[in-house]
Amino acid sequence: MNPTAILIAVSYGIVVVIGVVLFLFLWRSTKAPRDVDEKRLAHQEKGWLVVVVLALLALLFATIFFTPYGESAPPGAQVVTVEAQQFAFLISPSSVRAGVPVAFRLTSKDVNHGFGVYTEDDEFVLQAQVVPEFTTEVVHTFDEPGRYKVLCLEYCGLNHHGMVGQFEVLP
Amino acid sequence: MSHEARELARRLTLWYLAASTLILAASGVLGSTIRMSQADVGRLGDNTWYALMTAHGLGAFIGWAAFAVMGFSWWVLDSMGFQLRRFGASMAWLTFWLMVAGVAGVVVTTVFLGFAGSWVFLYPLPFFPAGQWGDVTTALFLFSVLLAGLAIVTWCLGILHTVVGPALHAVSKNPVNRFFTAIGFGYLWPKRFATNPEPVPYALIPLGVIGLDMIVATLPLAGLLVFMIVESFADVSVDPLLAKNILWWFGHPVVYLLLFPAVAIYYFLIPKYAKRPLVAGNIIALAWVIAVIANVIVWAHHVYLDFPADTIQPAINLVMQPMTFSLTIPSALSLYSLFFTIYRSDFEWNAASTSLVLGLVSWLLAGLSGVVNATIAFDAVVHNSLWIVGHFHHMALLNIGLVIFGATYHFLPELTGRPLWSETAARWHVWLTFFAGTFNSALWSWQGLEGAPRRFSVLPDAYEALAVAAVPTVIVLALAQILFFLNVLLTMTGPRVRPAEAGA
Repeated sequence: MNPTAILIAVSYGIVVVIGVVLFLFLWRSTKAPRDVDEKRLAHQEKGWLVVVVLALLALLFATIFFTPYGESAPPGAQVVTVEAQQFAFLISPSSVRAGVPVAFRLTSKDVNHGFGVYTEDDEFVLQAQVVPEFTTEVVHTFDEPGRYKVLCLEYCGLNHHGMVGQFEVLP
Repeated sequence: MSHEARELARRLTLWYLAASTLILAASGVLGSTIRMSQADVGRLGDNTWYALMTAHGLGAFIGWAAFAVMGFSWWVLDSMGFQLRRFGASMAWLTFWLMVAGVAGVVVTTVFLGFAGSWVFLYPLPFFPAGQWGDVTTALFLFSVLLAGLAIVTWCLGILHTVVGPALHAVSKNPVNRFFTAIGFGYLWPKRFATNPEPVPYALIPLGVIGLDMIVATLPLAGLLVFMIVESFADVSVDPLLAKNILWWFGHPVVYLLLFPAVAIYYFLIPKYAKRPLVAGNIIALAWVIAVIANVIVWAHHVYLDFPADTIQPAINLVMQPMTFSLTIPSALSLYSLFFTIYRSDFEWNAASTSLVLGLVSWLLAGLSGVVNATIAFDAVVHNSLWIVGHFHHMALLNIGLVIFGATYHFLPELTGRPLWSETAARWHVWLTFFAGTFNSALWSWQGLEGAPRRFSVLPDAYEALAVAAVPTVIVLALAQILFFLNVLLTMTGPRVRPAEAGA
């Protein structure tokens, strides 16, 4: 599994457990009803708002610097052009070297497509949308040599699931 | 309270409920069929699979979930004293027929004419059919979606007309002031948005908010649809990136067309079962001020992975992450309020209230998976994977759906004057739906994290094992809904409560 996917699985798993415990606690509390200070609880909602805002800010600053935007090919990068069309990828050249940045230049001849790169063992690597009439550039450095698959990750019609390309990363 | 207006709201709600329940049955069959096909149980042809996917998406999301909560909104409003007046009633009936016609058109053009452009019909895909459908079918499909979109606009007009009605008890006669009063501004600025004697009921606020937002969200899409209908017959074209942005300008807020009326139902019913008022202060009104603005300007988190060179799109996307995060605040504060309304209360547990509380559990869990999608660094991994499918089924079926089921079990006896056919069947239905639905969404989520793409009629071999594992879950989920259909049907046709019993 992709490392970011593992991070999501673990983090989400933890909050799911906390959420379920909270609701079990809530359910049990109704078995022994008693008066609560509703005004105080309503007042404390402001404190909850502060907690939520701080948590969101923490997540924002922890993640916002890891976006795929604005990364341009450094000098010496390998350039690969990818032309998508129903239902094939034309990838040129079809092999690159490991350890050297690769700039994929993505275009579409017809509809929206998705450029999704997977290892031969079906581990997700990267993706970007391919919009007709525009060029999208995505830069990535492959550390592991081997054969990589390209799946279309935007629904594009009848044989969308069969739209598969490939390229090779050489040592 | 006018008896005639109450009777009108009752009839309207029943019509909406009956129609949306029929659509649930149809779209449920379609959804089960395509999921089974992925597991190689009754494998469908590719275009058939994608056409059914298109029909299922629009049918379940708009034709069932949205339509059902739109209907219950009339009854909740009436129950709070906000009765339909002439214009509101006209809009409510017009909404009903536009929606029925729109959904019928979608069914015909997809199931029978083979249109398979998906419910987002990303421009220019409808005009690249790979020989599977023609331009007339495209135009008919788009026209049907346009009808459903107009239904949303007319519903909003009816809602806006009703929330500013006499029951608001606003001091001001100015309609703009009355609208802002209806969406809770009086809690923040009590002098400027004064009401006398009662403050605005909390359940009114989300309805007013969505009434305004969905007009703002839907009109640009309606324009795009008209343009695309013209393109079916003429040589014109749209910028594909602009079209994508317009689609999601509508496509995100429409989620709240389901959620906000559902929140109104939570705000209205949970306090009744807890036998205490909603635990909420002024701060919850602040959350809805954020919602009314942010709801219509967070569309681009659906296009985080669109960043063509030399466009403004990456900058827009970057701004969308904090904007989208801000939209979690109304959910977080609402969950707090509802949680502490139930906490240590003498809560009445029955099928309806259980469904609502399980809906709250799902709201929390699906909301948290939504935060993953809203984070660009995470979306770069889960975008267009089955994780997304898991997320929105969790939200639509197990949050909104359980609200609809809970509201149905609560309101149906008072709407029909007949007791619920079977409380036991209702409890079974609620629990089976919760467990089977949650497990089903968990499987999708896990497949997505493993990299399984969405919208594949045939999944790559690596992901087929979990698709097969989902089959028993899908069967249980589908069978559970039969209990719901039976309960609705047999309650509607069952014996009426005699006045003596009703008073007992």
